Amino acid sequence: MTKSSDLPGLKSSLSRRTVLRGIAATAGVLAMPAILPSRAFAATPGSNPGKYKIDLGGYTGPELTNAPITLKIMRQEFPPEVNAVMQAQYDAFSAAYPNITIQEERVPYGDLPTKVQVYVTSGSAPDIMMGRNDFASAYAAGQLTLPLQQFLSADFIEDVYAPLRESATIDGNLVCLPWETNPVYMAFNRDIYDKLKITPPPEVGEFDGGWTVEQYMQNFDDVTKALRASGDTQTFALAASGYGNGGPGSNYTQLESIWVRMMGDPKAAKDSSVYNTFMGVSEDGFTASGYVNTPEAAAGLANYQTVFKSGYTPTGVVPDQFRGGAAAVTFSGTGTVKRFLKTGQPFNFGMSPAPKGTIAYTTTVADSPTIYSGTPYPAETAALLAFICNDANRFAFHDAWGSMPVRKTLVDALPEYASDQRLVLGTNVADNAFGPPKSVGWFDYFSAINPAVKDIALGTDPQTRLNDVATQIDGLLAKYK
Amino acid sequence: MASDTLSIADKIIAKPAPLTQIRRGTVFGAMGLLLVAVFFAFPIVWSALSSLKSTDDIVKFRYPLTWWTFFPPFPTLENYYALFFQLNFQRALLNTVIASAGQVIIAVVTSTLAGYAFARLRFPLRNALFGLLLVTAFIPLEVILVPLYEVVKGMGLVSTYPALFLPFACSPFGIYLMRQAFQSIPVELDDAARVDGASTLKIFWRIALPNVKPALATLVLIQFIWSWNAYLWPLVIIQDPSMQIAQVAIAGYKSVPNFPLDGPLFAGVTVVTIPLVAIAIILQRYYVRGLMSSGIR
Amino acid sequence: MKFPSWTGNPTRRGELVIGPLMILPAALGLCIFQFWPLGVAILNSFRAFNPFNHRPNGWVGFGNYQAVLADPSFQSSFWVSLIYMVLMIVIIIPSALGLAILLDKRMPGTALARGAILGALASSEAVAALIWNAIYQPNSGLLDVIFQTFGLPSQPFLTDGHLAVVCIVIMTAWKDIGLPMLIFLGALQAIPPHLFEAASMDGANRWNKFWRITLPLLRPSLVLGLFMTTIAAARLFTPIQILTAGGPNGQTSNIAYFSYAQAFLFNSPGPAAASVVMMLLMLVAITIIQARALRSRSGI
Repeated sequence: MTKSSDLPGLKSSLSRRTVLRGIAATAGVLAMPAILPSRAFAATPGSNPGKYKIDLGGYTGPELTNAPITLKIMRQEFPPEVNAVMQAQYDAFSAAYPNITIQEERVPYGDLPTKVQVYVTSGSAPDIMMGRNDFASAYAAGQLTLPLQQFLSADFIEDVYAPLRESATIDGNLVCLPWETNPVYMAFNRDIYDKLKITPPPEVGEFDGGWTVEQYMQNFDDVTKALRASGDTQTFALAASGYGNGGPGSNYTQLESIWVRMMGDPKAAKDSSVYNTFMGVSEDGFTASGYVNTPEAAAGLANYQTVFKSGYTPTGVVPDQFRGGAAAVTFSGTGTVKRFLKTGQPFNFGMSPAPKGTIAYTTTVADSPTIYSGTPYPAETAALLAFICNDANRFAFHDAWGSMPVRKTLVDALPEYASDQRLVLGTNVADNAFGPPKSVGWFDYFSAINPAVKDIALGTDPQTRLNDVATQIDGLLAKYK
Repeated sequence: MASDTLSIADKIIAKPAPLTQIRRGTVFGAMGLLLVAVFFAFPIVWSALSSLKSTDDIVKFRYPLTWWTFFPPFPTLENYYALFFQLNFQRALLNTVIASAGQVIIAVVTSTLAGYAFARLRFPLRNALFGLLLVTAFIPLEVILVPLYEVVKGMGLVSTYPALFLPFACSPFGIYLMRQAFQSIPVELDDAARVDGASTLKIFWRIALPNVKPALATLVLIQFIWSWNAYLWPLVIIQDPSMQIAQVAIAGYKSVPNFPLDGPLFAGVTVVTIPLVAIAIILQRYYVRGLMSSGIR
Repeated sequence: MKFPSWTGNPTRRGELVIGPLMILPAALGLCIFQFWPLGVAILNSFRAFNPFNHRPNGWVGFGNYQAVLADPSFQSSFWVSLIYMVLMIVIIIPSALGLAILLDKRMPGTALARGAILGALASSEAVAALIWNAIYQPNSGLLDVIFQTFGLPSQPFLTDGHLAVVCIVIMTAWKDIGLPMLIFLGALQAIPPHLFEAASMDGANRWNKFWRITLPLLRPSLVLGLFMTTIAAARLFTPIQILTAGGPNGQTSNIAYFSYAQAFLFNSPGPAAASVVMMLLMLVAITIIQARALRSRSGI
């Protein structure tokens, strides 16, 4: 092994990694940063001790006010052990800035949009609200959130995986800060494959090293036939979706768009049908016709339909089908791996890339806190957000919750993401995945296309239904012009 | 009764039934009631039984359907332990009790007063006013959500207990129900009391109210159920987690992606249902003929 | 204003004051928390909105109404609303009456059945819909397993438009039947037993007593039960959202779901308000027709 001092570049990255591992290992201790020597660590994109009263991570704004103020933060409900981690972070912040009171509001995940809407309409909203990167265009166009680059270091923002960072950036403004991610790829139940003596999908680390959609379809067919031949009518080749409301048409952003956009190609000639298929919406974000209903998109959804028609997957909602051991393959991600590693796996499992079409494609969606544009305390709010997103606090959060960090240096510091193929693949997916189509009306688009996808899954002609929904989406997007 | 209109079929049925036939009728009736009970109780019993399973067992046995989908293979109280010792569910439950108590009390007071006035007192525009108030029953909460939020905000009540119960405490259904009940009391009772010199309020309190106990029981029960199960409004109006009600807390367990809390979810659903069933049982004596009528008639 | 003759009656003149005073608390509450927001909603139906923050930014006259009426999915929702209403009334009112009469008799199992029905009424809508979802699911649902056991083919319970409407109605009936049943049960208590005894002496049979005593005396309660069921049917929402989300092809979407989708999924508060105003008008009309029809027949 080369001595690290021979290679300055390597040295710095090695030492940074070592330091970060140290932080990860002692994340709990770091809840009391005040007792640590302020220059104990090299500054990383997400750690900058000593500059402010407390390690505000990537925050670069002015020193915080001394006036007594209250900051409000609204986020989704987490299990108690994760809530405790968050509370400890608020406590640490308030200990350093006793004049700042933090009020937290927790909402069931599915109700976040409703609550945000009521707040925004009424003209006063919490300073920090949990949003999502696929709505970034709307945040920007509606001027609902503050651009964050004015408060955060360029290093810190650069550290976020490129697909996520780009999807959260509109016209150069970072309008929300990706917070955790769960890149989508495939998990399979090795026990089922072994029992049926069928080859499972390849366990590779590369984003584009997996099977094509045709290979997957053939595999689903083999597995289904073998299962039925053995008298098993209850196990399926592909698990029902566990995203969104579950079942067909559950969550286009995260799941079903994979079947469609893999048939497109961002490198194809502009305005070609293949290019438009990938884009999903016109460049100005106002037209879906000619983008969502191309022949390639219809072919992609015809594949999707086959999965239901041929009985590879249930036509309804089956909660936790894969985890319950009743499906050979599922669209999943690092969340499943981490959960199985943490709670013990109920069966042997492996991970493989998502099916490839014209391109290797999968999506990356991340919950992303936003700073409300009407906040009276922009700097303090940004400082609080940067604090809970600093290295130590992120390690503590991910350790308790199991999701994947959105910043590369954090992932690099966690040994399992370097050694375990199932997670290495996750990092490569996070690096290469694509953000959702950019449209200010993505919420409308998303709400209109989910039922259409469900109808197609249940047998409606893909091209006809896509034409209908394209017209509907065009109508819905018109109000944003 | 005009017995000449009886059909032949009626006459056959009208024959005095032999003893065995009565027994058989009772048996069939009882079996029918049992079926009714199973049909209506099944989903609740299913949640209650599921609450005795660990979350892993719920996931494992949910599909395909076997007996273990319904019955706990390894019964455990861990979900209840988690609910009360980790998730602090008792706080959410207390908030629900406060909200429901407030709503029921105000609803009973306002509905009986208004119902009696609409049924028994005479003043101009009475029926027009009644019809107008009834219109509010048609308004879906979803469409007035934001304007209502702004009203409550304007009153400075956001994230307070009164905000939970005040907006729905005045109930068009309650007014209608009580008006109906007061109307069915024989007018002679009022008149007799009036002749004795009783005031309107005294008649209301002493004569009318004791005669509408089944309707009052229905009103209490329904208002209790409605406020106990309210979801969207508490979700929107409460900001402080320590003031949030049980239904929203339960939804929080359900909606945690990847790490669902199915066990505590079913335990929460079961715990939340128990007080409702208890109230229903307490109040159901008002629906049993004979137990109460002796007190009135 | 011309006052009727009883205002001259000194013992009843006080009612002119006491009557309105007794109504005041309820009226005040409803005005502040229902009529005021409703007024805002009606104004909103004539307004344009910023789709991002949902704040009004101008007046459009009847533009929202025109847009909604021209929308084929609104037209379909309108008819589906009526179908829900008819189905729910036809299923709930007779079953509730039947159950109330059954529970009014003293039979073994009465308390159990009554408790179960009240339990269903007491279960929250969201939980009920989730559990029924598990019952209706293709491949994995309880009904599917029962059908398989008897060698019957799987049924597209939630995936065929017509069947899905029926499934939603059955779930809602299961949940909502308790309220009209309680109203009827309460009213049955109020029927003086001596009426039945007298009828029995006249040789009347059960049907006779039902048609000639029970039903006429229950008529006001039937109107109330009908009113409540009509409202419940018109506002039917959570089961649609959880079981079908309005699909397949919009065939289970009613006006309540349509307006929810406009407001909360499609960022269109104006059309949402317009569709609800139209639903209110429709409901007022239907209720008046119902009340008239039942009043004239009963001769009250």
